Amino acid sequence: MPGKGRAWIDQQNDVTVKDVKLAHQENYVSVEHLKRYTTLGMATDQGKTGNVLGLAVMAELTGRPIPETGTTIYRPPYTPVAMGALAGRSRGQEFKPKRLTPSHHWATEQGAVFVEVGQWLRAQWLPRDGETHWRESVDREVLATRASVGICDVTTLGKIDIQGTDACAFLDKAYANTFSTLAVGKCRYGLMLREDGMVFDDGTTARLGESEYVMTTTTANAVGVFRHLEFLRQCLYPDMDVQLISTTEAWAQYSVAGPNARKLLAKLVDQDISDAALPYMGCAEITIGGLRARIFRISFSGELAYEIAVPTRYGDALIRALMAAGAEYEAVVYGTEALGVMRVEKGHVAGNELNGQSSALNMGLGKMVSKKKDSIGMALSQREGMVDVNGYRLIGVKPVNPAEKLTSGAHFLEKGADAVAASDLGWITSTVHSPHLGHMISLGYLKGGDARRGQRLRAVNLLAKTEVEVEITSPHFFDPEGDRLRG
Amino acid sequence: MADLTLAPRTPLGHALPEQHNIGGFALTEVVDTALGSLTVRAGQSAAVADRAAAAGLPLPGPACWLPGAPYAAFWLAQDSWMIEAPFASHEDIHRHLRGLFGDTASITEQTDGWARFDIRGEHLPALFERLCPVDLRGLAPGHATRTVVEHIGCYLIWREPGRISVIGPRSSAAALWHALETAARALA
Repeated sequence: MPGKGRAWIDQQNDVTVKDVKLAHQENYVSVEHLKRYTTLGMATDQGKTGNVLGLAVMAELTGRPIPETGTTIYRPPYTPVAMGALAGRSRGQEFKPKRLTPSHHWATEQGAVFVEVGQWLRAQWLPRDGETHWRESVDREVLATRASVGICDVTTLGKIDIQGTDACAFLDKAYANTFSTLAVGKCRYGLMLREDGMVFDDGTTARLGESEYVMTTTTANAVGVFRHLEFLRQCLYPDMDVQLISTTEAWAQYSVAGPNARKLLAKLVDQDISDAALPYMGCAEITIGGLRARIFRISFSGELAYEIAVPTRYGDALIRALMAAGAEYEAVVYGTEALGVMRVEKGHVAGNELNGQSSALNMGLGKMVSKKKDSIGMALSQREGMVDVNGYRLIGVKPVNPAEKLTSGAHFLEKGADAVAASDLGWITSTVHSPHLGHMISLGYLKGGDARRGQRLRAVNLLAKTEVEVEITSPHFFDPEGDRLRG
Repeated sequence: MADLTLAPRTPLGHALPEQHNIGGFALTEVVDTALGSLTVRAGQSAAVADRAAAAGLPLPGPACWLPGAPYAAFWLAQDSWMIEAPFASHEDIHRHLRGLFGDTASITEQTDGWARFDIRGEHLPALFERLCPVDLRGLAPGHATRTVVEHIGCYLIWREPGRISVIGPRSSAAALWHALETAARALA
């Protein structure tokens, strides 16, 4: 080859004449070996710019003509193809299917702003005339719910029908806390661990009959939890008599929350739902105007709250009936943002805290892991590193100056500490503006957090370039004794 | 009883089912069938088979659908079937099946978990090769399988030579209907 220095053959994969010579010296003379040794022709041009050149060099080195040296396989596209042609219809709105909630048509009529959760479109907030900023809508929804009553479509939460004579024992394995003591007609909050002891998911499970339960999962984990339970049933406990099927889509389910929730529902439900008939964490099969329905007295918002479910075909009619019956109480529908505000005010964990790296103890729920029985994840949740008293604990955070903003992802540092990993004490997981407290509040994980309540730290966010002095508090900002939800 | 009547909506969100003829295909939203899952409890296979036989309820083998009156069924998994019955007479299908099977099986109402679209036409294999990996040319009516249409997990029930049901998750009804319409238009 004439000329000095390197002579490039394959511009995309940086193959030179020297590389082909080296391949020849190493006896990689077959074209297929040459290709794999040098990566000649493996780039997106599939050798169209360099292969003939490379093969000619090899032909010269071996003293054979090019046809005898051979050629490698070119893979399509042979000619330039627009990415749009490969994507076909799968772009924009056609990229993936949408899942619509039973209240979708109603919410659309209300001008709801939707957010994708998995493939579901959930109402994020529902602006009213004159509201120009999302915070106005969200604050109004939160305040109206806590003052009177608010309704939220919670159909997207996974529902798994669990039956069989061993359903009860199966739940004791799947959940870290005890379910075998749950009476018929009662619900219980359950914490599900992975085998490694970290928290996998949470939700309430209701016992509808002697061997009939319905489990609720988080929206995002609905499929994952179902798959996990099938693994337990088929592989770990094949001798248990337990059957599972998803009923997520079969029931339209609404949360009705707030001091007037019972009064509103009493107008629709045919049965007595007084505190005596349906106490906190009770559930029942009821009728609404004669229609089969289910009611669960459970609360994520911290208010007196119920979840009411009807066969999905009636979901649209039910949201309209709830709003009509709620008119005298100025009922609102609240979206996922208001839901988020209320759960942070109550100190409930959600996706940002259930991050796959956190244990029950980290979340302040260590006592829920029963040691009186074996369950998935129990043994490994008790490892030395997992029960460290200085490990991360869920804490509440408020800015010392109420006018200052908190940002999720900010890390906690002592006063005067450098903003480096070695000084890191934990981070803010979720941040909302609490319309009740009039300032921002956060949840977060803080090393030895329980012992640090009342302390002041810095919340430093190097990405957002913010630094805020914060006070560490209990994660329960609102009604810590839970008087409201038992009302 | 509360003085209240809740009006049902179809999976596509309307008062009445949709119907759309595109080229040689007729697409219909079907809401006249109640669904209930039936899964045998431990050690009850014989009891379930006996009770099903007595009631004339078919329990087809894998990848099969069997018609019957009032009950038809398709296979879901080992010892597990989806039972179909006329909605008008069996709206509360759970109660009907519980009456037949007692505690020998786990029974779950599934009617509103699903949207069902029937497609009629002569060239169904050409349509479905655009929609899913199931090659109808090698199969026959009576075939029932689980597949994926445009990322949506669905059951295909081949009921008779010119008619197939696609049963997909109710929340994705509009997306599934759109996929069926789009494929039909491409062949029209």
